[in-house]
Amino acid sequence: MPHMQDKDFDQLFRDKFEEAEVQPSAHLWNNIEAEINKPKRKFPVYWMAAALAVAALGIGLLVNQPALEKEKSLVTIGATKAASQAVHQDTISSDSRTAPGLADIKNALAAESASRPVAGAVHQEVFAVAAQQNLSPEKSDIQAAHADQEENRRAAAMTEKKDLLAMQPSGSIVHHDNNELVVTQHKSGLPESTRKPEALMLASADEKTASNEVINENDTNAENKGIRNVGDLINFVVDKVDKREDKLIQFKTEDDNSSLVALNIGMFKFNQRRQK
Amino acid sequence: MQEMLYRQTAPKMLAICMRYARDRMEAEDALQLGYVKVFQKIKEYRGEGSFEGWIRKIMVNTAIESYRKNLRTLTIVPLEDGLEQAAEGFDFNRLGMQDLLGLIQKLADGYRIVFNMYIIEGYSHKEIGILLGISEGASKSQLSRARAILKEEIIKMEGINYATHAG
Repeated sequence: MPHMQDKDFDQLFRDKFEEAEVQPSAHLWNNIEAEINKPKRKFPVYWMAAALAVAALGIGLLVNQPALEKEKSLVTIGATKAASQAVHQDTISSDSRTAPGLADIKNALAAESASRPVAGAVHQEVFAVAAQQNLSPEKSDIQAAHADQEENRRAAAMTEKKDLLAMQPSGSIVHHDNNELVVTQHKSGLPESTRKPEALMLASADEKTASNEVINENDTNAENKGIRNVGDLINFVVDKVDKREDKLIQFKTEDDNSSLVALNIGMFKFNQRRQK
Repeated sequence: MQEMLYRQTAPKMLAICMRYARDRMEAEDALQLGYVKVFQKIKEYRGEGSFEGWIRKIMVNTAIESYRKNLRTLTIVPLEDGLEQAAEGFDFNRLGMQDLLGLIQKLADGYRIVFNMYIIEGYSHKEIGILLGISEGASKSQLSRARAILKEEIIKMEGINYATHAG
């Protein structure tokens, strides 16, 4: 037989396999059919993340059950205010029934804050801004009067409340140092539970002038302009649930597009504000 | 509809998979994988070229992919002298497709893939080099080694055949 060239050898294999057929096992089609009819399980990752975040918030709210009622009230107030701030203020200043309710909230918040020293500052801001935004000066009067009436019964709670009220403006004043009086009051006043509402009024008044700028520097205040969008709502809820200084998540809500400014998930932290 | 398509084309496609696999089990796994791809991508078929050719291409690509996935190192064995001379004097016509398939499946993975891609599918050494991530030269040497081994094996088979006839 003649020596076979590679070319011929290759051609022979090509010919042999050109029309080659091998019968597959009978069960194979069933496997393929099962595979192609499998429902798509691919669930977008970001939806999973969103669902997890919602679940975490839900659990947080459940755990903080005692605070839930107050949050509801605050949310309601915020929403109402956003809808019609002027009307709302009128209503509050003339409605003496709402004032004790708010005082209650304040007391509760103050007590809560006092038990968590680290988170206290943030909480006070929330609280104080709520006061500043929601209450006209007359409102503060009502509140103070109400507080006086119940002083005997709730001496302890009042102490905390006053302390916090005294502390709050001092924060503003550190920024603006235009009121030595309140600073002094703050420094010496904390241990004393007998501070009078006038002092509180002073503090409130000062806070009114100062806090607008403070608020601009601090985006964690959802109550700043009320809850207008989802970012505000998330900031508000996270504020309630997460007492740390670095919140789980924070949104910038100055413009209508809420954008993420800070994130704190365990090891991973992100804060746009601080990178400046 | 899908099953009909499968029934019509599967035997040919399994023959292709068999050439790239070491045994029937591996080949049927590849066939299954290939048809799942075919039905997933069927909307992408633009009607260019024959439909069978399109499926065939997917099968070959699947086979190459699965080879690359569990990439075993391509052992390059140096050519033995005298092998070329030994490759004469055998009768191909006695060998059936199944015999040749058996021989191809016995080749080392690298040899088998290159042999299939070059000889039967018609890829160039350059294309094989790119697809398998080896040099063009490596593809050439794999091919000549694969050829040499196949010829040697065929002579052995012929010898057995002759012995059978003689006896």
